[in-house]
Amino acid sequence: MKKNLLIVFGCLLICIYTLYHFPELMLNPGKLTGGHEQISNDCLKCHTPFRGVQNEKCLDCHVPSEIGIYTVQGIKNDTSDKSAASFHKYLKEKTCINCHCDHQGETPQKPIRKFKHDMLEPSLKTECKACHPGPDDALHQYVSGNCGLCHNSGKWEPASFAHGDHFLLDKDHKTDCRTCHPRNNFLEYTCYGCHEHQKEKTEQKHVKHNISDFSNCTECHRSADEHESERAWRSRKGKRGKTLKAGDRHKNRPKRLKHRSGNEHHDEHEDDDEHDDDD
Amino acid sequence: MKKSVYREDILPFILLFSLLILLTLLADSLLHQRDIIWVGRYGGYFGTLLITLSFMYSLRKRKIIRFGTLKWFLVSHEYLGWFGGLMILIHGGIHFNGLLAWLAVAVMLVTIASGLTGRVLLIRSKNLLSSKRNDLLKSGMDLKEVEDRLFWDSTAVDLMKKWRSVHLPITSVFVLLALLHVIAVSAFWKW
Repeated sequence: MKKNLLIVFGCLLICIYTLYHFPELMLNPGKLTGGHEQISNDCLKCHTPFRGVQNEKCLDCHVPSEIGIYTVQGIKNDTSDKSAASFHKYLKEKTCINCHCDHQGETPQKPIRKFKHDMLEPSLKTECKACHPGPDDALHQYVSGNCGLCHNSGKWEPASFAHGDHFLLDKDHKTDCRTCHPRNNFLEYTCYGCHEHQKEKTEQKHVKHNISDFSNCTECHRSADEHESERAWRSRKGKRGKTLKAGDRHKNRPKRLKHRSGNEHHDEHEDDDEHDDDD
Repeated sequence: MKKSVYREDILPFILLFSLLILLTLLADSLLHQRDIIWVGRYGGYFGTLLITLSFMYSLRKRKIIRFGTLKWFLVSHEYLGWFGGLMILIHGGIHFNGLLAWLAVAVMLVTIASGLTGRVLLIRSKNLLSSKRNDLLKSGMDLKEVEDRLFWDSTAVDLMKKWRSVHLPITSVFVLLALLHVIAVSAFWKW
């Protein structure tokens, strides 16, 4: 028992000595971020014993409004990615350790936990381009504006928007987005962008069926299948006992139709007689 | 049939120890693949609890607690020690930072190896002494002669005493390092 105690006591003394003189060697859970090497042996520069890392200690050297713009030494950052880090000035609360743990290696861009957009001031949450480069794929070629229409910042992909919920892009509707959504406004649509649907002909067809308000096409027409649209119309008429009006529209989808004046698509089908009224 | 020492004693020892390492590697790989390495932190808590519970054997042996049989507590000590060690190894993972933590893990592994060795020695000692004493007494030998004949055999029991003189200090050093690690983490953790 005595021998045991002596061994333990001896080990304790050795541990205390090494902890005091070589704290980084004994305790450091991971390499420090580049730029913090000079304080690597001074744990208390960032840590307050039993109270964790206090933000004030980070803010002693790092000014949130200057992150990404100036270095800690006050030198202006001329690199092209400075905008990505400059969002720090828009954070509601300056709690650095929510995202950053210095002991994860030399890349501070690799946070210990996922960044949450709730940390940003509300005005910036819709300004995706303030921090993120826009997509350069064909799908987004004609899209600009509020990314939140289709994307959720909690989980960017897959996009929350499903075109099929509004209108099925079948083989008859495989066309440029701009055909139905001119002016890059995806909250609005028009069916008159294609010569297949000319306003006068459309009016004639609908009046024939005693449909006076046909400003909102997708309320009945969810695809090129006319039988489906007829069923939808009859079903609604039967339920409500009245002709459909614009006000009955799904509230999330707009109803304005814009008569498209462009002539690009008229050249595709020169024989208009083939597309005659079929009723 | 002559029992093979390798098969009866050494192989189980190797298998148990190897299984510990293998399961640690598998678990660490799984946690990293699924990106749920935070589970390892709780492995530390759970492993510490299991190892702490395993010390009830020591309390029972010293009659500080009196319920239950020694044999039951010894078996529990073995299982709790092994599983607790596994949890601690998963908690540590395959990372090599912070010498204090890794010293604690290294000494824990030595402790477990020591424990498995003691298990082998204890079983052998018990079997050897019991069967030989009975055989010698049945053959008509008197007690003194039996004792003389069992002299070398009784060193097996002395071997157990010596084994304990190694196992206890190693365990104490492990407990010390583990405590220092817990204190250090508490001191620098983000609370």
